[in-house]
Amino acid sequence: MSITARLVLLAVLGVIPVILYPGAVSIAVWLALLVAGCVVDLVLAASPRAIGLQRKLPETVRLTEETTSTLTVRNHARRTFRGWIREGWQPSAGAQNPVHHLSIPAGEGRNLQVRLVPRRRGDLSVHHVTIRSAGPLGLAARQVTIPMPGTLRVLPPFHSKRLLPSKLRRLRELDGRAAVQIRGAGTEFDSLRDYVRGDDVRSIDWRASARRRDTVVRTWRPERDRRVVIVLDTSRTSAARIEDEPRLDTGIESSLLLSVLAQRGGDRVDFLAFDRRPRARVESAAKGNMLASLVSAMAPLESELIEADFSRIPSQVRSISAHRSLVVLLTALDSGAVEEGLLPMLPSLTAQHVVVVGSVRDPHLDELRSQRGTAAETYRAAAAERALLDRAAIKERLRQLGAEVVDEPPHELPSKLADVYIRLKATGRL
Amino acid sequence: MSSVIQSGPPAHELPPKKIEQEAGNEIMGDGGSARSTVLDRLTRARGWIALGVLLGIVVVIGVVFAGSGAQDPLSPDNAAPEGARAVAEVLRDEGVVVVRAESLEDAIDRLEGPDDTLLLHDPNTWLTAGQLGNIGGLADRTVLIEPSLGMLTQLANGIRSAGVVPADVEEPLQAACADPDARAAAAVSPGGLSYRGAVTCFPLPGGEGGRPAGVFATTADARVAVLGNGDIISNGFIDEQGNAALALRVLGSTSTLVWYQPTENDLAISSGPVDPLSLLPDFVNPLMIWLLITALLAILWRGRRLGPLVTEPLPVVVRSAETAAGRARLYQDAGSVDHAVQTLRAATLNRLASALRIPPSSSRATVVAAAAQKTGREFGDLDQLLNSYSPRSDAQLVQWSQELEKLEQEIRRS
Repeated sequence: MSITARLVLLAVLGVIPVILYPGAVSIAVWLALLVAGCVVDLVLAASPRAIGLQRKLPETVRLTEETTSTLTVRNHARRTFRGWIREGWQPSAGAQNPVHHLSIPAGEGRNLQVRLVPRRRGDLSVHHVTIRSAGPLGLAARQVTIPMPGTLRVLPPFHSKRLLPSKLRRLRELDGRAAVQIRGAGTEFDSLRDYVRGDDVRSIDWRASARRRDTVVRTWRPERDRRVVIVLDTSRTSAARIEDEPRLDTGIESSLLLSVLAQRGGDRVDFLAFDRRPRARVESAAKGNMLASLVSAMAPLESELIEADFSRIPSQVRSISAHRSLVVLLTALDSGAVEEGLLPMLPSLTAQHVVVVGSVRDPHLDELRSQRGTAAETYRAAAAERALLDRAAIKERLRQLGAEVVDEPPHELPSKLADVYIRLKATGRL
Repeated sequence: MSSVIQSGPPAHELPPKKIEQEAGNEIMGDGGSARSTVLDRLTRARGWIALGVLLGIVVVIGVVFAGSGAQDPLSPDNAAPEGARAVAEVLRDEGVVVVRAESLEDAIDRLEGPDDTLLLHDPNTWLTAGQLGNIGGLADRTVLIEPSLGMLTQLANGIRSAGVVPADVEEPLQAACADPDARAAAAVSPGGLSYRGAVTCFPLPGGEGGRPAGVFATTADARVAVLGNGDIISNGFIDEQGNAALALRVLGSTSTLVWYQPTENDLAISSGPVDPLSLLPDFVNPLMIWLLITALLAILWRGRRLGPLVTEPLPVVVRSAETAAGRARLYQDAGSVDHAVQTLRAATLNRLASALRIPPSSSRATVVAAAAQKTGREFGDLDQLLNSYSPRSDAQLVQWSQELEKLEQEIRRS
């Protein structure tokens, strides 16, 4: 049970009789009045256990968007229900109006719309619904909390979607559908067309020209149906926040942009989130909308506070694709973790596949590096320089082992990674 | 020409239709009832309720027994060694009506009847001479326990105080007087105060010279008796020597015994300043109580949540550049200027090499020469800055590192 503001107000009004007739009697009488009011209310309130609840919840929602949870409340009691109903969402679900005050006559029902503005990616849960049913006097209420679990999957926002048109345009240029045609865009012969000024003379097909009595050039198109395997590291290093975004989220953005691009480029994309064991996996062979299954697989990913086991990645990649593929490793290039894990494993991967290592670079280090006002700042600058030097050394070693390295600040990584993909495709290295 | 780009809906769009989860069955109630909820609450609060009841009982017991003077020495209700309940109980058994007077007025009222004895024990001297005069002469017999000089003057004319019984008197005191009560007792425990009166009993040893002082004295008409040693009637000593005989005979000679131990409530009220609280209107105290009740209700109103708290599984948060900050503090705490210098120098040379378009593997002298050519500075100055000079203190380190930074900016701008 619970009491209401009205009861407290009534108690405050009791000051008047207490002043007018000081003594124990006025206090006792007024107190008895309040208690009687509460008892009447509790007895006459509609039973909160006779309220039927039904929830309708969308399966998924994108992070920056808002959605509604619809609660259908039916009053099966014999009396009119007056009171409050609260849906118990976890705080990051951003329920804007979790508490509703309403009145439902006996036998009728109402729909409650709780607006949700999620503040976090992942599976957000609602645990219970609390019903507080007040009596006709509105002095006291009966309260019951009914367990009613539900889950809303909040998908990653995919901010880098805006980059997609420009990247697709460049992909089309490669493909030969756009006006610009360059020789060597691929190795697969596509078609013949008339020579126009500016074409490379080396691409002239002399035999065809002789036949047609007109100068004809060959065009190539990039290979298709290549495999792209994106491996996202979810180990402890992915938890670091860089420019207020965890590495993991930047990795998700990059993976999404790259997958969509590669898919539109006619390649097959596989996604794997891995630390010591696979956390999520999306296969190119799967039916349905590739992006939808990707975002829904990525939504519940969290950084795990464990060290990544890079030694198992080659076997994981092999199980995904037996052929030569583009393997994109999204991880952190922090010295220590990489030297012990990634570097020893890399040769076995580069031997068979084209490997791109993508990593988020911390712009904060560059700021620290150039601040040299005091002794403390200078030491910090030295430490930042040390970190940057270590990083440069690691990148150099990765390149020596045959991997491409993309090391960019968070907001540029998706775009730069897409550029590398386009470049590799253009030069026929896939 | 075949199209690479797949036709159909744009792949980068999420599925347009919102997939609704199954609404599921209608849920009603939590499987409990009002009765089960109440029982559940009571069961959970069991410990607190028991504690409350226990506390209540303790408070009630305390109130009942604290008000009756049960803790006072020589109180007829105090069963402790320093109390005097034993004597009072024995007297009651013998048919003597033992009444405890709560105040001076009460004592005076009780002494209205005939054939009564007043026991007056006032170690703190609460009563004034005037109040003592009011009570004097009312009783048929008055027994003063360890009286002060003022009490003797008012109530026991002819009996005088003779000081404290020395601590080295350990032998029982012999009656050695004509008083029949004392003779019946024969000997009593030593201690307390000594007096001299018309009849002085239980004299102290060694006082051979003048009239001896004793722990029991009476006036000539035997209406007033003074008992110098209160321990004689206390529970702890009543069973020693002839203490019991003396106490019972002295106190039990009449049918009523009024046992009066004045308290601070008997203090004569002087005309001091008026208590400011008494000037407040009548309703103030009830109003305070009512406001307290109202506040309690308000607390209950605000304190009841609409359902339990919902937990949030918090994500791991690791600040970026944390290792760099930690390493910087290590450098500084260890005062390792050399480390910082080497690192800053190496990083600057690296960047200068790439800015000057020379291979990173080239020697320092090459970089210095290229930098000198680019900036137009003296080769020697730059060589010292980039190569040979190494700071020894924090101040030198700061200055040197700023010069490095300046040089870098100069080269990058030109």
